[in-house]
Amino acid sequence: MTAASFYYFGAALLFAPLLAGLINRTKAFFAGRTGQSVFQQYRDIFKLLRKSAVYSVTTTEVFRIAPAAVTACMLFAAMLMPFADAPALLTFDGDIIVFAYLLATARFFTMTAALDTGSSFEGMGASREAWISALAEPAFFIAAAALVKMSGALSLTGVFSGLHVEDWLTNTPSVFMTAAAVFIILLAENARIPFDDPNTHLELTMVHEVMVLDNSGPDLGLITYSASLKLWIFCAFLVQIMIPAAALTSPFEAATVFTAAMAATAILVGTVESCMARLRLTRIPQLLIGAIAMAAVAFIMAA
Amino acid sequence: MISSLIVIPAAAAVICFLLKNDRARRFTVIAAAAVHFINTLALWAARPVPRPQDWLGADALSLVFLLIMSTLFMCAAIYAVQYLATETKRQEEDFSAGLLDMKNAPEAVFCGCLLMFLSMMSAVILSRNFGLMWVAVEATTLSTAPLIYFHRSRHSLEATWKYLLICSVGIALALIGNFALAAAGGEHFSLQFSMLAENAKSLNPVWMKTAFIFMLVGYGTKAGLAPMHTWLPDAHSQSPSVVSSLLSGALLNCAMLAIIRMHGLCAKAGLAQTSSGMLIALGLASLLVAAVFIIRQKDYKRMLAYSSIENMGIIAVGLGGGATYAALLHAAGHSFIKGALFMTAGNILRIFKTKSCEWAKGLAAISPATAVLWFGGFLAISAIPPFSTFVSKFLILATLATGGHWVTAGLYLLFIAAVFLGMSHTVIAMTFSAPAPEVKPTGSPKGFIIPAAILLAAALALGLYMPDGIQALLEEAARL
Amino acid sequence: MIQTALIILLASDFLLLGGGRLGTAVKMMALQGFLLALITLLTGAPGPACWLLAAATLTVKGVVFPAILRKILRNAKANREIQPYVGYNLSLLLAVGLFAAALLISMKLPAPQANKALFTPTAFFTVLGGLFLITARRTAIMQVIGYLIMENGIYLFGLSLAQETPFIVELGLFLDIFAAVFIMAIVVFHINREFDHMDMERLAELKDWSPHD
Repeated sequence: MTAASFYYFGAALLFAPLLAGLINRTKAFFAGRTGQSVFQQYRDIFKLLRKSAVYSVTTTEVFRIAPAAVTACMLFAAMLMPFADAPALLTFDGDIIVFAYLLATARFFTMTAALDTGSSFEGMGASREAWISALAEPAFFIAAAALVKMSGALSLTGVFSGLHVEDWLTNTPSVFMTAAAVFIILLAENARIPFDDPNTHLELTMVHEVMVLDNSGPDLGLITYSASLKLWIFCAFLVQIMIPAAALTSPFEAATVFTAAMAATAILVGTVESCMARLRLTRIPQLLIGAIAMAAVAFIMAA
Repeated sequence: MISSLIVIPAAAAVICFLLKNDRARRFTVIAAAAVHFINTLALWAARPVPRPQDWLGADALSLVFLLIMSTLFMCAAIYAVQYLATETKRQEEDFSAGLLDMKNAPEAVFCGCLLMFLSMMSAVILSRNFGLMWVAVEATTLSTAPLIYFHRSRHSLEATWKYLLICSVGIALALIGNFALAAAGGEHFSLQFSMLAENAKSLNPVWMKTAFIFMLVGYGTKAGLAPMHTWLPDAHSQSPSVVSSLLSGALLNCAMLAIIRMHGLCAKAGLAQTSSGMLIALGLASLLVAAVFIIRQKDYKRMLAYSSIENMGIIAVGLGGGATYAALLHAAGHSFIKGALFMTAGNILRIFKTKSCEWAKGLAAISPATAVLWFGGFLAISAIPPFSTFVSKFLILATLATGGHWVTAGLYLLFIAAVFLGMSHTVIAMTFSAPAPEVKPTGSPKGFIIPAAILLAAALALGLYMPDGIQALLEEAARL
Repeated sequence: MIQTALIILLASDFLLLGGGRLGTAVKMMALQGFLLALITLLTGAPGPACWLLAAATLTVKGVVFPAILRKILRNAKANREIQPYVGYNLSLLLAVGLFAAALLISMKLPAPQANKALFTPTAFFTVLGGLFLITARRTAIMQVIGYLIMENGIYLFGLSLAQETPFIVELGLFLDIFAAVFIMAIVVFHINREFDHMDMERLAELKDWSPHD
């Protein structure tokens, strides 16, 4: 835990919605529109925080605490994720597992809140979310195992600071395949095309959107914010696999390079979203099992 | 002289493809077979010593197999010509499959592929290089596939597809074995027999074992060793009888030759233990499979096919047990007898128009000549003395016993006995039961009877009296 | 460079094992032909024989075979794979298992040179993948594709070993494979014409014991 860790944690909290805005801007560019401003997500969150919440009579306390619980999990996960050349705020052996379980807890609360509304629409979203994450989680674990095998450390900070350029060069195929698998997981977990369409509100294409359909006011604001924080965390995970932090000399250089990389990842996600349609539900397991297979092969091949 | 054994049949094949006249084509087939036979005898008399850098050459082992194949093909050619003459006159009806409108493939394809088959098999037998041997074995697969599909029907199509796919896969595996064998040489990267035999002691054992495993599985698929035998019953039962006799009598032998050569090389390299063990294992598996499936078999050609699997298993067990002389003798005996049996089966099919054992009965009353051949062939393949198969099977048993492989010997006897029981039940029922009233006694054209009779007589002769020349040849081959 | 080509070959194997469309499978085959030609150029001893071999590989495996397969597909008007014996998801997971098996096999064999470390595992994985395709898929076309993939793997294995394979054997290899595919294509055409489908499940009438005994 260094001063830089605090700076990067603060940056994560502050700039996470900017990433989501960047994705939307990229999609607008591909569609030939000018699109929303990159700061639109901030405006949305502030607007929602000012409003008052409306609760359905079928909901219970679970529905009320879920948004806060989800945000708390995301904040905790952000504290575990290192960035650039700085260690994370919290780091200990095995924090990869805690990281995965934090995401799972957040997902649990979202799904329970969705089921709590008593509406079949949200229930459908919850079941789809469970199904997608059942396949995405093994992929994540195997990818993390590959990274652990390559770097030899057991914590997120250790893994990313332990990935030197030499490891990168000897294990190039493994690194590429892990990165590809993590990218697919990123798309799956953050409800992006080809798994979910964040723009529409049609039953056919909703997974995440449909679960939070009944939330309003500050609850919805918190959920939107935690979603963008999740996106930031995953992008940071992907960027640090691709760019070995130990190669960069000065902190300033590290910060610039990583910021640029995060922006590039966001633009890449936006591009993928613009170029593909959402997959048929029967095809989604195939893509995720492909990610599992890639991660497994990366694990087997890693020295 | 050696290359003419390959070139002349190939040229004759091309001529057959181009000829329009049926009679001319059939004449070409017989002529090519006769030339091949005479060439082989001349080669035996001359015995040129193969030079190390030759790609083709005839050592004792090659000569043994060449003689077997040439004789078999000569008889098969006579039978084939008679068969083609009768085939073109009428339409087939097969009761077991209902009234099928089976069209036959053009005769040109049949004759051409038959001669190509002869040419490629000669190439396998005469090659002094594992790579060339592989290419030739693949070529035999390709040239026989159209032969199996001569009677165009659903069943023969299925059999052809299975044959083509399974054998191609097997041969692809054998190619891996070839590569591994080449790698075993290290700096002496070569697949020539002479090179490998010279440097046998210095060959890398890991690569050698890998090579042997892949070659055994690969060529064993072609030779019909279990568990890679699944194509054999279908292919042998669906193809015309003359093709079945050649497949059983010559093709299986060629694949076995490849295995024998590899086994010999392993023995020279000091890996005899591993290779013998694997050979015995696969041999016993083949015997088991044959024993299980031959009992209550409904189709008599399939029964003969399983008998082929059994005999290949016996040869493999003999090789593994160290009785190479007996194994080679058995290969010769089996080729002749199985060839004769399949030709006789063709007769039976022609008379009764069905492949079912149930419907084809009363052979003794209907066609005595065929009955004699059928029952005689059955006795021969079951190793009744004085046929040569008795000598070979007994020698194998003796070698196993003296070598101390008691379990192997016991299983060997058990499975052979089971096969004998299964076959005898069917054959005796077919030959001596009362015929169905609507079938009249018919005679068979000479061309159908004589070749099979010649082959059986040869097997009998080998058993009764072994000429010194042949004995010496077999012994020399066994030492390789 | 060789590493990258091998990785792409691996990826194409996975796509073949996990994919369902026959058209995609044929495209993957063409890609593999191209990659094999590239690898031949990169590993072989420089000289006219090497160029000739690479050119032959590219033409035969990259152009001719896919063309023949596409012709068969058009004749049969088949585009999608019928429900295979082993489902696609399970195939993909089994593919990982096959890859692990290929690595195990390569570890048993004597170690090759450093820059060819990925050669033997990829070769064996391709062979195993081809075998898997032959057994697990139902259409005759996929079985032919499986056979061709097997041959690709064996060719790769040969490349990894040979400093100078006797050129004639390579040529004979090509000729044989070419003829094999040609004859297989003819048989598949006959199968389709006779049975009006390419479903191997229904091509199982020849058997030893029938149910009505």
